[in-house]
Amino acid sequence: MFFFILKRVVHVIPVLLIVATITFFLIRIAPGGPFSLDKNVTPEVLANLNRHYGLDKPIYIQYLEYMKSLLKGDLGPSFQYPNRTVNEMIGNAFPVSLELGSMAMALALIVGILFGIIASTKPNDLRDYFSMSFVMLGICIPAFVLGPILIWIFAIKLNWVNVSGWNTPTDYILPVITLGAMYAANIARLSRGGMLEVLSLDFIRTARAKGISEKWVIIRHSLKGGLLSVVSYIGPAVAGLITGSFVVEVIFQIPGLGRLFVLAAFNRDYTMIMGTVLFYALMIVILNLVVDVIQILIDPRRSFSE
Amino acid sequence: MNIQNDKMNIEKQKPDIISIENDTEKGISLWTEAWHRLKSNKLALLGLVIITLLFLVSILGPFFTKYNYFQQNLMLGASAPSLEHWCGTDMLGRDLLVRIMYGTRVSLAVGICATFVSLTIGVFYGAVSGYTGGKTDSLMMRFVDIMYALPFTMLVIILMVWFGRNFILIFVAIGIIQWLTMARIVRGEVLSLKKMEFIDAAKAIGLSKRKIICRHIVPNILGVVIVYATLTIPSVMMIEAFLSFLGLGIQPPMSSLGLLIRDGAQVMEEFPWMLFFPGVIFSIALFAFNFVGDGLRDAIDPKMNKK
Repeated sequence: MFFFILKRVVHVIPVLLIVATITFFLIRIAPGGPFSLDKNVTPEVLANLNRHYGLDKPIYIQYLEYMKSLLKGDLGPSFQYPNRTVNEMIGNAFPVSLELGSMAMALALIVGILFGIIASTKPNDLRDYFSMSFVMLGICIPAFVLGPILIWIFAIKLNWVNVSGWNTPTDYILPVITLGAMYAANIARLSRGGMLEVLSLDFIRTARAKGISEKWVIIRHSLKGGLLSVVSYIGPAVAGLITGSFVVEVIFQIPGLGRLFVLAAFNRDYTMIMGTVLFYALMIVILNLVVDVIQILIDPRRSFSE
Repeated sequence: MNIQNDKMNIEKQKPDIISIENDTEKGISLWTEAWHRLKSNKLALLGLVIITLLFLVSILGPFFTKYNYFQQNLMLGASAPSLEHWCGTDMLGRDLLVRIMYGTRVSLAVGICATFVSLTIGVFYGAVSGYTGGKTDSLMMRFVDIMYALPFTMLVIILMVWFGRNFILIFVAIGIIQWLTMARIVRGEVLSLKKMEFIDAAKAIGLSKRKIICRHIVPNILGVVIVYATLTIPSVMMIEAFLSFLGLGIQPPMSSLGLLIRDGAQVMEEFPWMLFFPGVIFSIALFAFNFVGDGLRDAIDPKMNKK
């Protein structure tokens, strides 16, 4: 297992370098710079600002300097908020996104697996159709439609929760539901399919013949096999969860990483954009690795030597 | 009588075998078989009907309404659904129904064009990579793996913010996000096709690699390509709507469903119909494409049936 992880870590480094390079040059190709959007900046002030941040040096020197400071782990100062560094702002925003993401994933797993199992126990029955239709809603109503609708129903009309923000515990409910809905739906579909497959296998028939109650047949014998495909879905899903949070964070005004990135992109805050993009790439790669390792660990058919 | 019926029934059950004794017996091609399977999938048919309706209404609809999408009626302002305006009006007094029709047109157009872009790149890349095999294949796939790690959504956002909200750029940008999956799927199909005997026969005749790819491989992967193209369209529509939601996609006065939803979300407290109608239409469109895509997948390759 150690070598597997090591090999993957080694692969990660060139990927991150490529991401950094592409992003670096991409954002500098655009016309204008981070300060040209401020209307009340005279040309001299503009020149001074550019010189202060090293933006007037030739591009390859900027690139090398950025790479050097990257190696030290320093992502530079934020152009938009001159008193704060990118590291600091990401450090503040990331835990928020992490909270949001993990809660949404937990919700998605619990609801999804539950619905999937319920639907699979009596396939093609009324229960099945209802669960799956409900699940379809989750797939087809995107977050930016669901979010405002939920806000309209629960925050505006019924006034049960706040419209936006991330302060009181009740603030968490709507964003988490909005973000988790689509994943719950997909997980429900996958777990239903997986469970159906496993429940048709011979050893389940043996278990039933031995007189084991249906409950234990499901919980103890078929669950692990049926949920295998869910685990392989979670990897890419987590990446989507992190990026999907853009919309949710913007709708609900949550001070997380997604909103930070969107604001930075709009404000042409070079360093912040680089910082968030790199951070995201790093997160995605690490999470994919973790999920892959878990997958190999729990599936007895696979081993680390592949 | 009964024996005649039974005989006819048995013959009907073997549709894809051409009977040698009876010249009037017709075989059914694989496409027809797939079509029959598709037809029996009620949900997929419903999806197909919905999509056709959406296309017809969005393309032809505006000819039948009294209002066009930029005609403002400032005296009216935003008004609730009424006999005059079936979906109400937006804040500038523009009829929402017409705007929804135009928006659907734009969203569908973006969906199809961007899918086409990703299809072209993906199929070409996957076919060449799969068929060439060997080192070229590994290299190309390694490239795809690296691309997979790139947070494309973020790069597209950056692109859209800075290079202007060019209509064509949207297709290209979204297409770039999607081609990777298509390439992988196509490559998988090509790899399994490569081992079949008719390819060996083609090589034995002396067909050039290019001719083999064009004339033998591509028609056989069409099935998979169609399925995944149909499933890509809703993803693309989502991305476009998401971009419009952030203000990066289609620009007013043109409207897309994403833009309409965004505007609706901003004023949903006072004018909920502005959110409701576009949102419902958008979701219905996604439903329909997903069902049709699933149905096509079940119909064209029953082995892939996940049930």
